[in-house]
Amino acid sequence: MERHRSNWIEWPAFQIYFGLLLSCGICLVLAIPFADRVGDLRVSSWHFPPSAFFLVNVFFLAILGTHLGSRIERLGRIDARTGFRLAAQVALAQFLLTPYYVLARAIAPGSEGSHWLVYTYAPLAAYLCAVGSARLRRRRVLPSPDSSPVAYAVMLGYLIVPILFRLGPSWVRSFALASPLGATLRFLHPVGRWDALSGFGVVVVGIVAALFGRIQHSGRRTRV
Amino acid sequence: MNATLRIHRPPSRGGVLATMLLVLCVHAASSSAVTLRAEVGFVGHLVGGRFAPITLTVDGLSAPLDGTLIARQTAGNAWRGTASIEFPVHSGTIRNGILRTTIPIHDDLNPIELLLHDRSGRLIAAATVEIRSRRREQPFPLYVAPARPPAGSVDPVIAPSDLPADWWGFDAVSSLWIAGPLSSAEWQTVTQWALAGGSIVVFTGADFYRIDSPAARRLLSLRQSTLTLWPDGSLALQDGDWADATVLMKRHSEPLLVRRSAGAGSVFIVTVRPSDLTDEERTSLAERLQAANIMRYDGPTADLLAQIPLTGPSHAAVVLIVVCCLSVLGLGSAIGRVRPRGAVGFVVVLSSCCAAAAGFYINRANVDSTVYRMDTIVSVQDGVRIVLFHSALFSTASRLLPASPAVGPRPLLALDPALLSGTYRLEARDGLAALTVDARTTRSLRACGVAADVYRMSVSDTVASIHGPRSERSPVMFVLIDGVAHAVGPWLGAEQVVELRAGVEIEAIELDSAAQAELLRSFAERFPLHAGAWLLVLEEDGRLESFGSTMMNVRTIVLTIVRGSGV
Repeated sequence: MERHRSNWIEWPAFQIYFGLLLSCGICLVLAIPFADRVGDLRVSSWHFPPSAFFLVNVFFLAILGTHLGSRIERLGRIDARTGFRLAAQVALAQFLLTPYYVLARAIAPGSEGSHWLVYTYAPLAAYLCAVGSARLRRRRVLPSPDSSPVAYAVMLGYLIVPILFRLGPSWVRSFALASPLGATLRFLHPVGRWDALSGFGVVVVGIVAALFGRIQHSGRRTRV
Repeated sequence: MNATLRIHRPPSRGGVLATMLLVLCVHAASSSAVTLRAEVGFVGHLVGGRFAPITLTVDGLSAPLDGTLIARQTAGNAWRGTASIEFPVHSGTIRNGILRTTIPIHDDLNPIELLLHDRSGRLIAAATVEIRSRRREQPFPLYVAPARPPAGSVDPVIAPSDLPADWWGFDAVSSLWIAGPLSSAEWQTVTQWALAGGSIVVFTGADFYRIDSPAARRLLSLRQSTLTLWPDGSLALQDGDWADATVLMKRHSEPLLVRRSAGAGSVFIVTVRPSDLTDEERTSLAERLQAANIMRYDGPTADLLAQIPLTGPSHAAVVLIVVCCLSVLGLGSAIGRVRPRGAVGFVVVLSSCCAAAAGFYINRANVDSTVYRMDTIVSVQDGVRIVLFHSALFSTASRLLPASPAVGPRPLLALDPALLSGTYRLEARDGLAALTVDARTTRSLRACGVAADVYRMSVSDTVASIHGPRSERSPVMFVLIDGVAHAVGPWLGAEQVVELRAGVEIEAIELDSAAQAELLRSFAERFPLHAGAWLLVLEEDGRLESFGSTMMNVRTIVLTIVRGSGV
């Protein structure tokens, strides 16, 4: 039991890792055209959107982050070292997808810059979900370990609600960049410097805010 | 000493400024006085989606200008969607005077804006040409004075000097009526159009000696021409027994209207002058005419594009990489139960290996090639020379793509009736056309030109001697004698002699690829390859052309037809 607990990847997390790799892999396979000749591609009405791969990546990585954040809080380790460990786990999950990103050139050649932007952005967003869910637990918004569905609901709200701004008038559409899914969709099109900075800025500010509060809180607790 | 001092004295600032101001004023005055006038089509008559001649008058230039004259048009409308079209009408030295060329008309409802820029991009003059007032839905007859249309007709009449300089300038013409003399260059342009599929009516009779010239005789294929006086007093042209011709109308049992093939087109010879025709005969003549039908290969080109194999990774390879990644995760998890730290290293190393393997595979699979272009070039040499370019592009992503250099800077882009479904932009950069191609759509271009004199063939009873350049494409050649094909061995360039022994029917020719056969079949349907001696050259190549960060998969088929001499 002790050996099992010390494993770098636990069974619930393994399921999410596995789901991340499998879902992204399926999206990648489907995004490659089922055609041998140009003519087949021209007449084919079914076309799997290449952006699905990147959206699934961001979505599952956010779930993984939320799960890891709530697990670490449950174990009670809330120092800076734990924060780094959390970051390493999220980064490792994204690293597992590196072969997929290399293959992603096949689904949208010429957009490698956008791909690697998403590759960097996705773990940052997931890390925000991780520290965010940990902070929710610490502030007793989630009173018991069994209340993690609330953390997932908050995470889903963070992913989805800002996207609704895309439906609004042009001056509010930029707020969709607050959502990792909205930012990913924006990055996949020819992206302006300010769009990229805004997308990353929102996540980085969120991480700093969450981490700062988290570590400070941890310090007070230690002093007590 | 004093003189030296005076020499080195700097010029006064006021004087320099005044001089500069004067120069600027003179330059501004001369620039503002530059005027552009343009007439598009034949007395304004034109058809949308076809080429049309343009006559530009530049006036007011104080000196020859090194610049570019640009035509700009927005095709479509708010309901239909719009297409932005921009191409150079002329580039280089521009002087006062008249400039004639041929431009594509993408929309006959919207005006064409003409902009004269100098080399630095400064606007010198601009003009807007309204073209909708005399637009025609269908190709129309064009009369070259002194030929006249029937009473009440609105069809245009032009002077011989207003004939377009390019044969594709007749693209909107259904039949060209000639009743007077033309210059050698004008006959050549008309003959080129006939070769491409044009329809020409030539009145002769008592006016034949005014018309007669080597170029006219070549077009009319006259061999033993004589003038005969008919019982009604009119002089009529006769050409022996009118061999290789079809007599369509007779008067006094003598040919009145004769049709001869000229390449893919027709020449209708009226053996009397226009004033000698009765109204009934004129009506009957118009009914017997065959409208121009220029050879086009849009369809075959699009079909050949559809047959190009897609490049990219296979599904099996991608599935293999996915399975490998899942296996790495599973193994890493299993190892982690025993050695947690070693498991992370294991996962990192093996994931890196998977990424490297994926990278090698992707580079080998040419995934960057997501743009496909098919070019067909049909070149005909029969006394005069023409060339027809067709290009079709397909891309898996929306982007601006360079067109084939062969189509030049002024191609005609095929526009869909509804332009709302995509982005349509055509522009010329550095003398080459570039156009937008939406994801998973095909765009087609066509252009016309004058072929280079590449191959020559002389034929005797037993051998054919071929002269031509060395080609990197390994051309496939046949000598056609009255529809019988004699294969030419591997072409080594320079000169080759072929013995005309056993041949096969043209329909039985075996070619290297289905694409070549398809293009040849399309050509033979229109062109009289069954009569006379012809050299048939087919060249095909496929290559990758770099375009920014992606590659363009380009396939080109060139069909060259050369009439043999000496038979």
